Amino acid sequence: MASDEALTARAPVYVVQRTSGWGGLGRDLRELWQQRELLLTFTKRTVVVRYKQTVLGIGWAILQPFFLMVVFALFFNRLGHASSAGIPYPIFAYAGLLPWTFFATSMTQAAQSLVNNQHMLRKIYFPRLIFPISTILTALVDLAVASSLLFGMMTYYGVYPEAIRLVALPAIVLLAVVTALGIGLWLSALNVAYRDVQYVVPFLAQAWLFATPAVYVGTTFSKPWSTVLGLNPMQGVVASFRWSLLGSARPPGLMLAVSAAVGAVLLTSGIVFFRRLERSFADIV
Amino acid sequence: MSDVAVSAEGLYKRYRIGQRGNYRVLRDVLAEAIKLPVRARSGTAHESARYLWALNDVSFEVAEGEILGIIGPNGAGKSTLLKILSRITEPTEGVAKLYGRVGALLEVGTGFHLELTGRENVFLNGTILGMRRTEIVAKFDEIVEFAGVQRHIDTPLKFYSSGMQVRLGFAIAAFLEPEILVVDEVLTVGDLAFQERCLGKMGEVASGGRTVLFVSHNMSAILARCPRSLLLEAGKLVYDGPSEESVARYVSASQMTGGAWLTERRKRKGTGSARITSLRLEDTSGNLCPSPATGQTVRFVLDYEAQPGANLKELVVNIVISEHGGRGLLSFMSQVAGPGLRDVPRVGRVYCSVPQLPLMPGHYNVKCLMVLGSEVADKVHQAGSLIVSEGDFFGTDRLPPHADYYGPVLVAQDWSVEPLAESAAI
Repeated sequence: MASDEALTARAPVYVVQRTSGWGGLGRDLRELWQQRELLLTFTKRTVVVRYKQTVLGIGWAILQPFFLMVVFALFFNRLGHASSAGIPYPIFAYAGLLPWTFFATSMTQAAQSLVNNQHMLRKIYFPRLIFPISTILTALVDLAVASSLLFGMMTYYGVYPEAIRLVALPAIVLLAVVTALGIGLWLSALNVAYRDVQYVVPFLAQAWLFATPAVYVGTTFSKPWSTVLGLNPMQGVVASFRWSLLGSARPPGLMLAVSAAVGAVLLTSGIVFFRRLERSFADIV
Repeated sequence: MSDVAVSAEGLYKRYRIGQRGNYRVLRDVLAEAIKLPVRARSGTAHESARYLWALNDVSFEVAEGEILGIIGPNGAGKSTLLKILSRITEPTEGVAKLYGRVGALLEVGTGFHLELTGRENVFLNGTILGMRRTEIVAKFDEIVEFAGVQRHIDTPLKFYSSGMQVRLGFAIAAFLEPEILVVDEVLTVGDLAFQERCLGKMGEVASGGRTVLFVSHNMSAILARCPRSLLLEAGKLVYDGPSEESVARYVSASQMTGGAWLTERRKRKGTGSARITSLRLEDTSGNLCPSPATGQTVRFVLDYEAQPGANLKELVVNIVISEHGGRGLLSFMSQVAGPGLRDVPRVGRVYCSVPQLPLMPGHYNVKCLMVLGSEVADKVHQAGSLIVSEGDFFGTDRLPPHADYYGPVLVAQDWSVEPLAESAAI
């Protein structure tokens, strides 16, 4: 049909072939950027669908961490007399549970994101990263909504942050996003091949909660150990989140640096692992 | 000669046969992922596992603005080819170069969410198919009107009838304007008139200089729309040329094929205590009858092989003729039509004679099913297709005008008239 001269000169828009190694990352990220509309549409869909046919709607985004806070306030503070570093316990716990809930929701939903959309994996192509990323954006929306209660509580208890510390807040949230995405990429890709992952995730989330000072004071450890605790990136996130908003604890410093490094490693390795398995998603999901 | 839009060079796609995950353990996946990419993939123990080549050295080119048909029996690799071109899956070997933005339509309404309204779903599905938001906004009214769902556009999709859902999905797809459009057999669902409108709309797309690759089992649609077609069989490209020739070869080669075809079929169900190895249609003199005529005397010939030790007391064979949508039309059932097949040999051949093939000219699906003991031993959902040509069923040289309205099945009938006593009162 087409003659040889037709083959010359023009470069193909896309070459489909077996990808190998680490190559093509730049192209993938460019595509992801081109498809940002799809990413936003997906996120919107998830937010809308999640609260359809519920009476309280997006109010659940507040109620979930709120109820957790009430439970912990009763058992830890009233019965267990847990210390809260001089801050009213409810606001202390809520400020820890906010980033924690964001992280736990992100991780759980991201782990399911590919399997839940397996039908789409088999029928259409777009960058697969969109699935886990959009679940994290969704959780971010919840976080923003739930934050409103925190600001209310801060006014009620008269706890006001220093303006200079608030500047760090976006960076702290970014670290939570990086960590959640990193672990989410690992779990979602593994879940495609091994549905065992979906049974492991709830335990993982529970264990991780106990390892994170969301509802207790984490700075009771002496110097070298508090730095080691930073190996759990959520440790750094929660401690810094409180430091930034409630202004109680000492600045997290070295521990935060360790957390940030671990978060970066999680995300990088997550991207690499995800991309290596990505090519087989449609075949094995 | 115009430019090339798609060029495929030596495409291979390998799938592992059998249950996924049987020999792939977590350790392997992790090891594979962190293995240095520079290290050559050495032959591992896995190489000995059984593989199936869904595509086996397929090369072709499509010129810009061309409408290319892709035909072949089930399992020939048509869908795999489309999945590679639309980047859903990667080829095991080979390269496909795409000279333009590809839009793939392997299914109608991908990503539709029942809780969302029609409006929200148009945006969702449109974006998934690769349309820009501004593009959807511009075409929104046209899409809704085309689907005929104006009154329900702000109603959640779950309150739509299934027909309305399909129409909405089609309408969005019909307004897709990629440079290269890849369409699977999605156009077989929904009502016929609406399908025609969609195909027409897509035809406009093609006449606008766009390239279309079109997989179908509907030979008349292929002949009407695609000047050139690829014929695939068992993963191989067996013919590439004018559609008349491709269709003719497909019809003669694949209808009720004999030989080993069914032994290699992957998509089958049943316990496997016996396998249908071939199913074919013969005429009265025992020759293969690839395209029988309406009213012709034919017989189905089914070869089977049971496992040693299988219960051979009673064998039940069902051959079901169905429409392409899947609705059954006519069955040949050994346990219903006679005393049944008892004390059968372990390896044998079953005949079912049909004195007059009672089907209107057209294209049908054949399913077959075998029961041994009380278990379904083997079930092949799409054992083959049956193309019935025009013939004389009633001995009158006449047939109903068409099957769409009058139905696809014919029954021998006697007509007569007799006088009644006229009523005195009138």
